[in-house]
Amino acid sequence: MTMKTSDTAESTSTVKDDLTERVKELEEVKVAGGSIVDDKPSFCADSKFLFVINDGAVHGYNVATGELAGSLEGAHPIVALSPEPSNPRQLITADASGSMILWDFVLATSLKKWSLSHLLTEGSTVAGLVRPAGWSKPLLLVRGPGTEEPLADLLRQPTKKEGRPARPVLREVRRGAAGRWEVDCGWQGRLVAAIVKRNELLVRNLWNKDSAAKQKYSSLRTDADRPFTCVACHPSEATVAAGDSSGRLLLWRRLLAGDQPPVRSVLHWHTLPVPSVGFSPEGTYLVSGGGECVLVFWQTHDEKPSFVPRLGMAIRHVTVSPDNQLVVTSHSDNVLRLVTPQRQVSRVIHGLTWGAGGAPSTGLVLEPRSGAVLLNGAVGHLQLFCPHTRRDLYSLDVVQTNYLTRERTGAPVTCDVTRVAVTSDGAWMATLEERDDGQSTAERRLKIWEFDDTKQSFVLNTCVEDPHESSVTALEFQPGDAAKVAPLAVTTGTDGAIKYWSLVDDSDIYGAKRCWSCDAVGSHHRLPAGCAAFSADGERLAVGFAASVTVWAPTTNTLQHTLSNVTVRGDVRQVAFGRGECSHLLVSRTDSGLRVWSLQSLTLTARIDVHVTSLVADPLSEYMAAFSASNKVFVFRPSSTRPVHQAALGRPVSAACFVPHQRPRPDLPEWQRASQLFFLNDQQALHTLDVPEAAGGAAGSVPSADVIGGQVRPTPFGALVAEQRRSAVTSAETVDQSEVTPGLQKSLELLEGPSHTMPPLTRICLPFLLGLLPPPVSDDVEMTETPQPEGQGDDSDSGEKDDSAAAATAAAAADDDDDKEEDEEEEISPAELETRLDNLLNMDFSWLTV
Amino acid sequence: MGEFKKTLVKQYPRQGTGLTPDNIYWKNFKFPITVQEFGCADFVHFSSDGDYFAVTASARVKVYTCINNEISKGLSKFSKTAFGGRFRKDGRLLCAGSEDTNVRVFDVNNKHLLREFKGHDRPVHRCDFTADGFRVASFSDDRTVALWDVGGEARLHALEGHTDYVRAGACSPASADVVVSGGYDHAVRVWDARTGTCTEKMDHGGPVEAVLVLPTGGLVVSAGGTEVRVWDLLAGGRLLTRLCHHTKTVTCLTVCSEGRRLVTGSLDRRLKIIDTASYQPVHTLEYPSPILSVGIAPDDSKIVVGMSDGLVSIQDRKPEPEGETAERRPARRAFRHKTDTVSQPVRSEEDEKASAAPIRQQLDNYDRHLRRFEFSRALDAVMERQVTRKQPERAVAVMQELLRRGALSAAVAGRPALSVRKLCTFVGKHLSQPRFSLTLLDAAEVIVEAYSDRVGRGDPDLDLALDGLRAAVEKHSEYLESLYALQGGLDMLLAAAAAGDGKKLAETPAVESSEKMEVEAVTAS
Repeated sequence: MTMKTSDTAESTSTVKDDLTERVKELEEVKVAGGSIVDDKPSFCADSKFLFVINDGAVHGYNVATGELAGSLEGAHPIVALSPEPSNPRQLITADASGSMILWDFVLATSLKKWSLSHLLTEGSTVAGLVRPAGWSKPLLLVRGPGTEEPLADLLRQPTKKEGRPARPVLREVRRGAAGRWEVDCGWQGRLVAAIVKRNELLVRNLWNKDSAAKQKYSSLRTDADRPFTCVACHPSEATVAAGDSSGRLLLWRRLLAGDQPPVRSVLHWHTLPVPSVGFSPEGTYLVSGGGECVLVFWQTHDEKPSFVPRLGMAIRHVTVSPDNQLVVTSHSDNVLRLVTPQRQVSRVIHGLTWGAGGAPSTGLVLEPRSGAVLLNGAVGHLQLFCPHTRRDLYSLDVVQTNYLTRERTGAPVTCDVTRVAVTSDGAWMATLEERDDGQSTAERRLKIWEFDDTKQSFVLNTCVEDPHESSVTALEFQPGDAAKVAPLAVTTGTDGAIKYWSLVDDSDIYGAKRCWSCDAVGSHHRLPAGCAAFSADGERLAVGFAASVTVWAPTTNTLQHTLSNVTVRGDVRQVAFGRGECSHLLVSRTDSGLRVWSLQSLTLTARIDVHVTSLVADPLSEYMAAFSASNKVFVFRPSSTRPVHQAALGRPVSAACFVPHQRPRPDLPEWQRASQLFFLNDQQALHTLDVPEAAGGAAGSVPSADVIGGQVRPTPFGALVAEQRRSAVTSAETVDQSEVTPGLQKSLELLEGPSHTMPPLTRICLPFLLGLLPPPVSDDVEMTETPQPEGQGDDSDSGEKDDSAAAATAAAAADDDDDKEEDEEEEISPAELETRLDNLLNMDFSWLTV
Repeated sequence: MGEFKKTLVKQYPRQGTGLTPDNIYWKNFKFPITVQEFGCADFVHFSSDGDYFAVTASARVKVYTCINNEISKGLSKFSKTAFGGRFRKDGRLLCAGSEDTNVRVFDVNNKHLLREFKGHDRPVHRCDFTADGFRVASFSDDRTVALWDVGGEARLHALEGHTDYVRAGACSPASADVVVSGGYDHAVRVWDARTGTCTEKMDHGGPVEAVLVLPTGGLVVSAGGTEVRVWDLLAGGRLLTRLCHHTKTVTCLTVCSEGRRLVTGSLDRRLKIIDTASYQPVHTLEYPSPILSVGIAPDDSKIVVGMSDGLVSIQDRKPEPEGETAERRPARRAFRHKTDTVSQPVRSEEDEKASAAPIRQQLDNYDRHLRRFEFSRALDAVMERQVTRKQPERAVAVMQELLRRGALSAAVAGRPALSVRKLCTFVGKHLSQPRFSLTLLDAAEVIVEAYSDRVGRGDPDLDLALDGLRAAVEKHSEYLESLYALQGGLDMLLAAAAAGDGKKLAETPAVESSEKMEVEAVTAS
């Protein structure tokens, strides 16, 4: 993004004044995530961009590339948007308080702001914008103050003459199955339809004087036990389609025709409630989607369905682009898919995808090779998300089975990834998948994947069925240098076993192969084993058994110590070893708080009685971060109970991880120098603690020109060209750290000799200290050096070749130099001068004549 | 649109047969041609150019042409039973021993008896040309090995040292002066043909029936009893390995695949093909009668096996479709694993290619039904005879998938009694296999639930089916109980061992674990 250069410059400046300036306050900054599927996505008028609302900001995606083209953020969270039909670059957004902004999306600037707060009564908020075709201003959907069941009124924006709003166009609009306000306009802007009761649709003619329509209102009903779930209006005919909870699509034609009742037809394919339905811009076909993960195209003339099956997860919204070239589907795993009329998925837009629901059971796991984090993706998948570049690197299908869609009788229990671990060199990854429906035998599989350098992806090496007799509680790899130690994985289970898995040779005469196999089992008083963690050097393994922590030597599978204390109540949820200076310390987490144990004295050295929900250790430094139930984060060293940093967070944290920086960030405080803390909140948004302006720069909300341009980069080579280049000049400007004490090198030279040849310390003390001082500006010692190179360098402008001329040149060259040099020249001995003249004469000037 | 993912079939390691490239290679032979000889087929030998092979049986040596498997010459100038007819390297001469103590050398082209070496007192069972082709070594029941000059028809050496019949012998193909003999006195002796002295003597541990010098000349293979032993001559007759893959006496040895495979034949009616690098058996071929002799064409295009009842089986290799097998072989390799708990889902690279290409995927019948949510038909598809017999793991995988979808009870319900019986038979038959038992126990439960109300209502087929299922489950539970008893006993032993030896405490869990793992894999229900 374009902010990079200025950002580097800024970081270099902070290096200099780091000592003097206080470290800036850290703020909680959103990195990625948040829902893009809460609201229906909308296309701009020329179908080049797709707008969605994500956490109060409007994200615009380039339809051709699927990339995020830009985001718009107002002063208050945006709740509704309506693209301008007349200008494809413009859109109107509204926030809850009624202030409206007209944006130019390409320039990312607001063109006009106005407020409609006078239309809102006490306690009511703006909930949506609805634009009938041909209308200059959108209708306003206003949510009433009542909280028991959300209802909204559809208001017309008054013209200047009217001043006060007229009566609402429609009252008490309800939400449908997808949580969206079910109201739609059609028939060239003449007709508006909305769900007003559970099983009643109200259709209204918006034109006051309309000869074709004989009625102003029409009420459409369905069975009481099949409430409506969604509604859509035909763009050019008096036709309304509505879905109901039994999976039917009801189609009413010839509405508002006065004496003739509307003609109803039923399209029934879905088995689950239909959360979304939409007409194509010409009205020739209808699209619907739902929990079956199937997008259904219905021809309106013969009502025949055609299908696009297996679209990942349940569909929540469908929208057809104005140019009829794409259908966008929003899925419950926070993914948008663009489907072409040829029934092909052309693009998939996603940030952080969500799993089956709630917090990722794998947590955030650092993948050291790419510096990205691994977490649950779509059901049965793992996603690799790079928090630095904010890109989803790839998604790995771990379970390799079809996603089982919901059925009428209920959702089947799916097999999902519950644990993941990666070796410290990233060569191996272990995943654990589990499915337990309580009826049939539970499925448990431990899969160990090897990184394939040619495929640049993980390839399945070993699959172990039922690694433990009951559920597996922890999965860890032994850290350490892979070249020296054979990799070792450890699983613990509620069956009380600690199992050690090692890589064994499985070669036969047909080729060399390796696979993983269990080579030892440990247990402790037949207690269910809980969490497990390796020490930084991999020499010790800590396993929680009920309320006590046990320390094992993994190479011999022997119990070394058992740590327990009367103050520890409840099961040990998590253990972590300290690093660096704190490597003798072990931190355990129970529901009652944190306990720090010393492995040297085998005593409890500290207790922190805070209800901590999550504890993460930095892989590069001794710091740890603890997240409390009261939404606070504490960063501390295990050696001291005083937190280094603490901050209150907006929302509960479900998972966290330290990710090493890709480039040095000296502007961050000491504890985040090595790696940055990222955490995922309960809304599946990835946050971090960062300096405000740096985060703003990195966020790079200003889109680059070619993304805005709405074009795919023309050639594959074009895609290779960096978005911006940095010249060697700027990189040279970065300050050399050693310059802070320029004499340090010299002083150290004093100490370099062997110790027996060194003079007594009393002798070298003074020169050593003097060497550390910055050198004075004019130093006699340095002045005696001969300025020989300068004489040679500057003489190129003279063309004479005889002796006297050469001498003159030397003098002229010396003249060009500053006064200091001139003084010096008089001190040159005659012999020296002669050698210099010889040097000049011997030089070849033939190149000058050409 | 996401591709339909095929049902994952848990592929477990097969024991011995099935999947290796060697298995495919050695199965790729045509139906055998059989020839009935009068006596037992004592010896089979291929000429080194692969054009002819000689079968020695009763008082004849028959020379067959490889191209049409027809007899081209019959050498019958024997007064008594002939033994061990063997070609010279160039294929022009053939030597054979006989019950009448004489060793004869024939011209293969015109069937003339060129030489007759007289001097042994007892029958000669084996004889061989030396590598230079000028001498013949004969191995006789008179406990001597004799060397004869082909040109002068004179005995050069009588090598004495064996104390019993010498029934096996061979000349080194690498050196003209090395002769190896094996006798019923359990000794394998290596002779220097220049001096006539015994240079090395190895103890086979049983009467030696066959010896073979591998093409490099450094290794000697001896067969006798149920054992095959490999000796390193260059290391002074060191025993390299012992191969015990046969249950009865090993009678014949040969090499094939350019020396990369060793073939042993035995009275237990099996040929074992052994990798000469690792000495691992890679394939087994079975024959109807005890095997006495075997010969394999130099290019592996033909296997000729002589049996004790005089039957000679001649098998030709099927012509290979060009380029296909070479590519197929490595693709199958990837799915072999060691321990029973480790399995690998079947998803080969071919599948990946298929999913990358826009063409329609090839789906199995059951997958096609599963894709359309036709659960009952998917179950029908895997209850076909060829699936339940040959690939029970597929049937179990489909049942597991149906369980996962909560659709097994729907798929099982409402079947005619015969179909239920088929299902119950399948479940009962495979219930005791540890890799299937968890899924099949769940399936049995579903079946019983679905049909419990129809039991005893006058449908004998159904009653029989469910009764069979009950019996199978009972048998399985008894089996598990006995295994638990075994585990308990082992635990006790191990605990005692751990208590007795404090030093070994550290190792015990590992030992325990590996044993436990095996038991647990079985008892995991």
